[in-house]
Amino acid sequence: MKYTLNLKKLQKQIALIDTISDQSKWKVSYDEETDSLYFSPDIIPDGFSLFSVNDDFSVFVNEKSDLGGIFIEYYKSNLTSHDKKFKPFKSFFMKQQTNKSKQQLEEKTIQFTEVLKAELLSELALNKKSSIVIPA
Amino acid sequence: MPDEIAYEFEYNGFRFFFRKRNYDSHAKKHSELRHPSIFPRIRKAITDPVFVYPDYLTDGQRHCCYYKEFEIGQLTRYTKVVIVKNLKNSYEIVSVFRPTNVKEVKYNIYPLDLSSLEWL
Repeated sequence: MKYTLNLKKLQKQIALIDTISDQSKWKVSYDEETDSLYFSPDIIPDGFSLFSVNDDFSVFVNEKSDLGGIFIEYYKSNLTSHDKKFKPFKSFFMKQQTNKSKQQLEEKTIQFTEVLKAELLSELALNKKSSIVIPA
Repeated sequence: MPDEIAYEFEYNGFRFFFRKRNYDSHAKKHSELRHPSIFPRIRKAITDPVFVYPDYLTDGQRHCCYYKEFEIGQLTRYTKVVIVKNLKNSYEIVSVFRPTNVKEVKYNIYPLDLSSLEWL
């Protein structure tokens, strides 16, 4: 199966990721076992598959080019170790960080979203195509 | 009480299994896991991988098995199955998802010689 991913639509959604994530109740969740970080709803609906934006970030998209979440593999061991923009978030989303308040978590998530948005938008801007066919 | 098993199979005398709690946890994020068609893909990734990389995270204790599903243009869809040795003749499936890239390439990690893998 394949579908055409509308990169312009994806770009627009990334630009609005703070609104989309808020409306769809996305949360940052970290899987310690696999060192993976998700920024997504608790359950990502059927029909969404991964598309690698670059070596560090993948997005969940469907055949309508809807954005369903963000996936970062080797989050702590790689991304936050080599990218200084993400270093402040290295351990914040770990489960054992139980001393953080709801307000702290929300503030940090907002900051994280801004950094993520800038990173994804700059990466997508490098792609001159308006769409791409992806194997689903 | 032993963990429930979501999926298991034997191959060349080795058992491969996916604990239900682990499967359920990953299926929340990766919707493909909620469909039975994922199971033959998992099996193929382990028994007929296009390449197997030592895991970056655990310094080679785990193996990342890639099955190449198909490619369109410059994009390839893989099934990636991460396994870890559990007992002498048994491997636990740690995670399964279907990326369009091979992350380990970025770290200059070389794929393992498939003939050196005991289950192949």
